[in-house]
Amino acid sequence: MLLRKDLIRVNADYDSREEALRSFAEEYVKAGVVKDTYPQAILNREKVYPTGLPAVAFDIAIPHCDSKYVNEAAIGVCTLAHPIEFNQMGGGEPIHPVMLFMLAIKDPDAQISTLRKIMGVIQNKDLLEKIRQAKTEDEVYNLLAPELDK
Amino acid sequence: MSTRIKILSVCGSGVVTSHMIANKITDMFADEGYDVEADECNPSELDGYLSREKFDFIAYSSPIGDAHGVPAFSAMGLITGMGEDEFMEETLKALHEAGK
Repeated sequence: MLLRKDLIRVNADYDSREEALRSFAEEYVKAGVVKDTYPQAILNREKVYPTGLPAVAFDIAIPHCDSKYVNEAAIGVCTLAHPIEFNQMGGGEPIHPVMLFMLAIKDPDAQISTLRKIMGVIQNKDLLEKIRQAKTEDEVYNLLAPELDK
Repeated sequence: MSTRIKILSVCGSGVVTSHMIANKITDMFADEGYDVEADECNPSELDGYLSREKFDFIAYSSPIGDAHGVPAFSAMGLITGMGEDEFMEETLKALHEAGK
Protein backbone atom coordinates (compact mmCIF):
# COMPACT_ATOMS: atom_id res chain seq x y z
CA MET A 1 0.00 0.00 0.00
CA LEU A 2 1.69 3.13 -1.20
CA LEU A 3 -0.68 5.57 0.50
CA ARG A 4 0.76 6.68 3.82
CA LYS A 5 -1.12 8.24 6.70
CA ASP A 6 1.87 10.39 7.60
CA LEU A 7 1.74 11.94 4.13
CA ILE A 8 -1.81 13.24 4.37
CA ARG A 9 -2.55 16.87 5.16
CA VAL A 10 -5.98 18.39 5.53
CA ASN A 11 -6.84 22.03 4.95
CA ALA A 12 -3.21 23.06 4.60
CA ASP A 13 -2.74 26.79 4.54
CA TYR A 14 -0.04 27.69 2.06
CA ASP A 15 0.53 31.11 0.52
CA SER A 16 2.11 30.06 -2.74
CA ARG A 17 2.77 27.12 -5.02
CA GLU A 18 6.43 27.13 -4.00
CA GLU A 19 5.57 27.02 -0.32
CA ALA A 20 2.97 24.30 -0.85
CA LEU A 21 5.26 22.09 -2.89
CA ARG A 22 8.35 22.57 -0.76
CA SER A 23 6.57 22.16 2.54
CA PHE A 24 4.60 19.09 1.50
CA ALA A 25 7.66 17.53 -0.17
CA GLU A 26 9.62 18.03 3.06
CA GLU A 27 7.14 15.69 4.75
CA TYR A 28 8.24 13.01 2.31
CA VAL A 29 11.89 13.65 3.23
CA LYS A 30 10.97 13.38 6.92
CA ALA A 31 9.17 10.13 6.26
CA GLY A 32 12.38 8.82 4.71
CA VAL A 33 10.73 7.84 1.42
CA VAL A 34 12.64 10.34 -0.69
CA LYS A 35 16.11 11.89 -0.76
CA ASP A 36 16.64 15.39 0.56
CA THR A 37 17.05 16.59 -3.03
CA TYR A 38 13.42 15.64 -3.79
CA PRO A 39 11.76 18.95 -2.79
CA GLN A 40 13.98 20.99 -5.09
CA ALA A 41 13.47 18.45 -7.89
CA ILE A 42 9.70 18.75 -7.43
CA LEU A 43 9.92 22.54 -7.69
CA ASN A 44 12.22 22.40 -10.72
CA ARG A 45 10.02 19.94 -12.54
CA GLU A 46 6.89 21.95 -11.85
CA LYS A 47 8.42 25.02 -13.52
CA VAL A 48 9.26 23.18 -16.73
CA TYR A 49 6.54 20.53 -16.87
CA PRO A 50 3.62 21.65 -14.72
CA THR A 51 1.33 19.10 -13.15
CA GLY A 52 -1.94 21.00 -12.78
CA LEU A 53 -4.98 19.07 -14.03
CA PRO A 54 -8.59 20.17 -14.47
CA ALA A 55 -10.27 17.13 -12.94
CA VAL A 56 -13.96 16.20 -12.95
CA ALA A 57 -14.80 17.73 -9.58
CA PHE A 58 -12.33 20.63 -9.27
CA ASP A 59 -8.75 21.46 -10.23
CA ILE A 60 -6.00 19.30 -8.78
CA ALA A 61 -2.25 18.81 -9.25
CA ILE A 62 -0.14 15.66 -9.29
CA PRO A 63 3.41 16.84 -8.53
CA HIS A 64 6.10 14.23 -9.06
CA CYS A 65 9.67 14.03 -10.36
CA ASP A 66 12.28 11.60 -11.56
CA SER A 67 12.48 8.30 -9.67
CA LYS A 68 16.16 8.87 -8.91
CA TYR A 69 15.08 11.16 -6.05
CA VAL A 70 12.90 8.46 -4.53
CA ASN A 71 13.96 5.84 -1.96
CA GLU A 72 10.70 3.97 -1.81
CA ALA A 73 7.39 4.55 -3.56
CA ALA A 74 4.81 6.52 -1.61
CA ILE A 75 1.68 8.55 -2.22
CA GLY A 76 0.29 11.36 -0.15
CA VAL A 77 -2.52 13.85 -0.54
CA CYS A 78 -2.92 17.38 0.67
CA THR A 79 -6.19 19.32 0.66
CA LEU A 80 -5.71 23.06 0.55
CA ALA A 81 -7.44 25.67 2.69
CA HIS A 82 -7.61 27.92 -0.34
CA PRO A 83 -6.86 27.36 -4.06
CA ILE A 84 -3.32 27.95 -5.26
CA GLU A 85 -2.37 28.79 -8.81
CA PHE A 86 -0.66 26.07 -10.86
CA ASN A 87 0.03 25.78 -14.55
CA GLN A 88 -1.69 23.03 -16.49
CA MET A 89 0.12 19.92 -17.61
CA GLY A 90 -1.29 20.28 -21.12
CA GLY A 91 -0.55 24.00 -21.32
CA GLY A 92 -3.02 26.87 -21.45
CA GLU A 93 -4.44 29.12 -18.75
CA PRO A 94 -3.34 28.58 -15.13
CA ILE A 95 -5.78 26.72 -12.93
CA HIS A 96 -6.40 26.72 -9.19
CA PRO A 97 -6.07 23.32 -7.54
CA VAL A 98 -7.56 22.67 -4.14
CA MET A 99 -5.97 19.25 -3.77
CA LEU A 100 -2.48 17.91 -4.40
CA PHE A 101 -1.56 14.28 -4.94
CA MET A 102 2.22 14.20 -4.54
CA LEU A 103 3.65 11.01 -6.00
CA ALA A 104 6.97 9.41 -5.17
CA ILE A 105 7.32 6.68 -7.79
CA LYS A 106 10.32 4.40 -7.82
CA ASP A 107 9.50 1.99 -10.66
CA PRO A 108 6.63 2.97 -12.94
CA ASP A 109 6.41 -0.49 -14.52
CA ALA A 110 6.12 -2.23 -11.18
CA GLN A 111 3.81 0.46 -9.81
CA ILE A 112 1.59 0.79 -12.87
CA SER A 113 -1.42 -0.74 -11.12
CA THR A 114 -1.19 1.93 -8.43
CA LEU A 115 -0.86 4.61 -11.09
CA ARG A 116 -4.02 3.26 -12.76
CA LYS A 117 -5.84 3.36 -9.42
CA ILE A 118 -4.80 6.98 -8.94
CA MET A 119 -6.27 7.71 -12.36
CA GLY A 120 -9.45 6.06 -11.10
CA VAL A 121 -9.50 8.33 -8.04
CA ILE A 122 -8.92 11.44 -10.15
CA GLN A 123 -11.86 10.48 -12.37
CA ASN A 124 -14.21 9.81 -9.46
CA LYS A 125 -16.18 13.01 -8.84
CA ASP A 126 -17.93 11.75 -5.71
CA LEU A 127 -14.75 10.54 -4.10
CA LEU A 128 -12.85 13.74 -4.85
CA GLU A 129 -15.62 15.78 -3.28
CA LYS A 130 -15.72 13.60 -0.18
CA ILE A 131 -11.97 13.91 0.26
CA ARG A 132 -12.23 17.65 -0.04
CA GLN A 133 -14.88 17.77 2.70
CA ALA A 134 -12.87 15.56 5.04
CA LYS A 135 -11.90 17.22 8.30
CA THR A 136 -9.16 14.88 9.46
CA GLU A 137 -6.24 12.92 8.05
CA ASP A 138 -7.88 9.68 9.20
CA GLU A 139 -11.03 10.49 7.24
CA VAL A 140 -9.01 11.05 4.07
CA TYR A 141 -7.05 7.88 4.62
CA ASN A 142 -10.21 5.84 5.11
CA LEU A 143 -11.70 7.26 1.91
CA LEU A 144 -8.63 6.69 -0.23
CA ALA A 145 -7.12 3.49 1.12
CA PRO A 146 -9.83 1.14 -0.20
CA GLU A 147 -9.54 2.70 -3.67
CA LEU A 148 -5.80 2.30 -3.83
CA ASP A 149 -5.74 -1.11 -2.29
CA LYS A 150 -8.18 -2.92 -4.62
CA MET B 1 -6.50 -11.74 -35.06
CA SER B 2 -5.43 -8.30 -33.81
CA THR B 3 -3.54 -5.53 -35.57
CA ARG B 4 -0.20 -4.59 -34.14
CA ILE B 5 0.39 -0.89 -33.57
CA LYS B 6 3.25 1.04 -32.04
CA ILE B 7 2.68 4.24 -30.11
CA LEU B 8 4.80 6.79 -28.31
CA SER B 9 3.56 8.26 -25.02
CA VAL B 10 5.11 11.60 -24.08
CA CYS B 11 5.03 13.39 -20.75
CA GLY B 12 7.21 15.81 -18.80
CA SER B 13 9.23 13.27 -16.89
CA GLY B 14 8.83 10.45 -19.38
CA VAL B 15 7.96 8.37 -16.35
CA VAL B 16 4.66 8.70 -14.49
CA THR B 17 2.03 10.24 -16.73
CA SER B 18 3.37 8.61 -19.88
CA HIS B 19 3.05 5.21 -18.20
CA MET B 20 -0.51 5.94 -17.12
CA ILE B 21 -1.40 6.96 -20.67
CA ALA B 22 0.40 4.09 -22.39
CA ASN B 23 -1.23 1.59 -20.10
CA LYS B 24 -4.71 3.06 -20.58
CA ILE B 25 -4.29 3.14 -24.36
CA THR B 26 -3.17 -0.49 -24.39
CA ASP B 27 -6.38 -1.49 -22.60
CA MET B 28 -8.72 0.74 -24.61
CA PHE B 29 -7.27 -0.40 -27.92
CA ALA B 30 -7.29 -4.06 -26.98
CA ASP B 31 -11.08 -3.70 -26.89
CA GLU B 32 -10.92 -2.39 -30.46
CA GLY B 33 -8.82 -5.31 -31.68
CA TYR B 34 -5.39 -3.72 -31.57
CA ASP B 35 -2.26 -5.08 -29.96
CA VAL B 36 -0.41 -2.01 -28.66
CA GLU B 37 3.30 -1.73 -28.16
CA ALA B 38 4.10 1.49 -26.29
CA ASP B 39 7.29 3.44 -25.72
CA GLU B 40 7.52 6.35 -23.28
CA CYS B 41 9.68 9.44 -23.37
CA ASN B 42 9.83 13.11 -22.38
CA PRO B 43 9.49 15.97 -24.88
CA SER B 44 13.23 16.53 -25.25
CA GLU B 45 13.73 12.86 -26.20
CA LEU B 46 10.99 12.96 -28.86
CA ASP B 47 13.20 13.66 -31.88
CA GLY B 48 15.53 10.83 -30.95
CA TYR B 49 12.67 8.34 -30.67
CA LEU B 50 11.05 9.50 -33.91
CA SER B 51 14.29 9.22 -35.83
CA ARG B 52 14.88 5.64 -34.64
CA GLU B 53 11.43 4.10 -35.02
CA LYS B 54 8.16 4.32 -36.83
CA PHE B 55 5.14 5.08 -34.61
CA ASP B 56 1.49 4.88 -35.59
CA PHE B 57 0.68 7.81 -33.35
CA ILE B 58 1.95 9.93 -30.47
CA ALA B 59 -0.10 10.52 -27.30
CA TYR B 60 1.12 13.44 -25.19
CA SER B 61 0.23 14.98 -21.87
CA SER B 62 2.86 17.75 -21.94
CA PRO B 63 3.03 19.97 -25.03
CA ILE B 64 5.42 18.66 -27.67
CA GLY B 65 7.19 20.35 -30.55
CA ASP B 66 7.28 19.17 -34.14
CA ALA B 67 5.90 15.65 -34.50
CA HIS B 68 7.48 15.26 -37.93
CA GLY B 69 4.29 14.15 -39.61
CA VAL B 70 3.35 11.48 -37.07
CA PRO B 71 -0.29 11.89 -35.95
CA ALA B 72 -0.16 13.38 -32.44
CA PHE B 73 -3.03 13.66 -29.97
CA SER B 74 -3.42 15.21 -26.57
CA ALA B 75 -4.09 12.44 -24.09
CA MET B 76 -5.09 14.69 -21.19
CA GLY B 77 -8.60 13.29 -21.43
CA LEU B 78 -7.35 9.82 -20.56
CA ILE B 79 -5.99 11.08 -17.25
CA THR B 80 -8.82 13.35 -16.21
CA GLY B 81 -11.54 11.15 -17.68
CA MET B 82 -12.94 14.12 -19.58
CA GLY B 83 -12.62 13.63 -23.34
CA GLU B 84 -11.73 9.95 -23.57
CA ASP B 85 -14.29 9.36 -26.29
CA GLU B 86 -12.89 12.15 -28.45
CA PHE B 87 -9.41 10.72 -28.04
CA MET B 88 -10.56 7.28 -29.16
CA GLU B 89 -12.47 8.71 -32.12
CA GLU B 90 -9.55 10.77 -33.36
CA THR B 91 -6.93 8.09 -32.92
CA LEU B 92 -9.07 5.38 -34.52
CA LYS B 93 -9.75 7.71 -37.45
CA ALA B 94 -6.02 8.29 -37.93
CA LEU B 95 -5.31 4.56 -37.78
CA HIS B 96 -8.05 3.73 -40.30
CA GLU B 97 -6.75 6.44 -42.62
CA ALA B 98 -3.35 4.81 -42.44
CA GLY B 99 -4.93 1.50 -43.34
CA LYS B 100 -4.76 -0.11 -39.90
